[in-house]
Amino acid sequence: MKDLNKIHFPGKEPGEIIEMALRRHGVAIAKKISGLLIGVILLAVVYILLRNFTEWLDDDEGLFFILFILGGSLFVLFIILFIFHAWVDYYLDIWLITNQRIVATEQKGLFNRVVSELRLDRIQDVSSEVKGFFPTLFKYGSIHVQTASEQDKFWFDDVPQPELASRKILELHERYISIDRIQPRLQHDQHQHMTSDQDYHPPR
Amino acid sequence: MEFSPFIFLIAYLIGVIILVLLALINIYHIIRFGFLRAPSLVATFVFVILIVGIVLATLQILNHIDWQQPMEITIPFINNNEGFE
Repeated sequence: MKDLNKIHFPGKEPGEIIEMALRRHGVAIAKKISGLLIGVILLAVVYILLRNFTEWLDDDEGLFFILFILGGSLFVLFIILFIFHAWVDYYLDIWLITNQRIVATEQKGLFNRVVSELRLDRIQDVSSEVKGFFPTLFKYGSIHVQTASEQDKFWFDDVPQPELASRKILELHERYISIDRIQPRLQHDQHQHMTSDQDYHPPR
Repeated sequence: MEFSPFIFLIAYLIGVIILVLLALINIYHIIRFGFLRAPSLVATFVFVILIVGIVLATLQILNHIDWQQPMEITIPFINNNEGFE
C-alpha cells in the first residue's frame, strides 16, 4: 500500500507513523463474490432453457415475459448490491500498524464497527498460521498477537503473507520498547548533568 | 381474471427504492469510515453504473408495454392446456 501516511484515522497521535496497513487477502472476498455470481449464472441458464424449450417467453407483451424481466432484473440488482456490500465489508476491515500501536478496525455488517487498539509495549508474543489448501497456495493466513492486556489475544484472519507481517510487528515492538527504555535514560542523563547528586532509577 | 400489469411495475420500483436505500447506506459507510482513495471510488462508481444500467435496460426492454392495458392471466398447462407443444 503506497502513501500510508496519507491515511487519516481517528485518534492518530502527533508523530505517529503508519508502518504497515493490512487488509484481508483478495481470496477471502473472492469466495463470497463467486457464490453470489453463481446466482446470476443460474438465472442466465433458466432464461436460455425457457427461450429454447418453451414458448413462455415468446410473447414479449405477455404476463410471464413481464414477470420474468422484472423479477430477473430485481434478482440481479440485489446480487450486485450484495457483492458491493461484501466488498465494503472487506474494504473497511483493516489493521493499521504504526510506530506506537496496532489499530484493528473490523466492520461487522452495517452499523456495527469494532475498533481495537493495542500499544506495542503490551505485546508479549506474535504468531502466524497458514492452514489449508487455498491459504497455502495463495499465501495468506492468520496473525495472533498475545497481549498483556485484558483482551489477551488479538488476531486477524486472511492476512497476506502473515509470516512477514508478524516479523514486522515484532521488529516494531522491539524498537518501541527500546525507545521506551532509552528516552527516560536520556532525560535522566540530561537532568543529572544539571543536578549531579541524584541516582538513576530505571523505569519499572 | 383481468388486471393491470402496472402493479408489477410498482412492485419493481418499490424493490428498486429499497435497493437504493441499502446502497446509500453502504456508500455512507465507505465515505464515513473508509478511505476515499482510488479503489473505493472506482468500486462505488462501477456499482452505481451497473445499477443504473440494469434499471434503464429493464425499462427499455419493457418500453413497449402498455401498463394500463388490462391483462388476462393465462397459466400454461392449466388455462389453455398449452405447454411444450
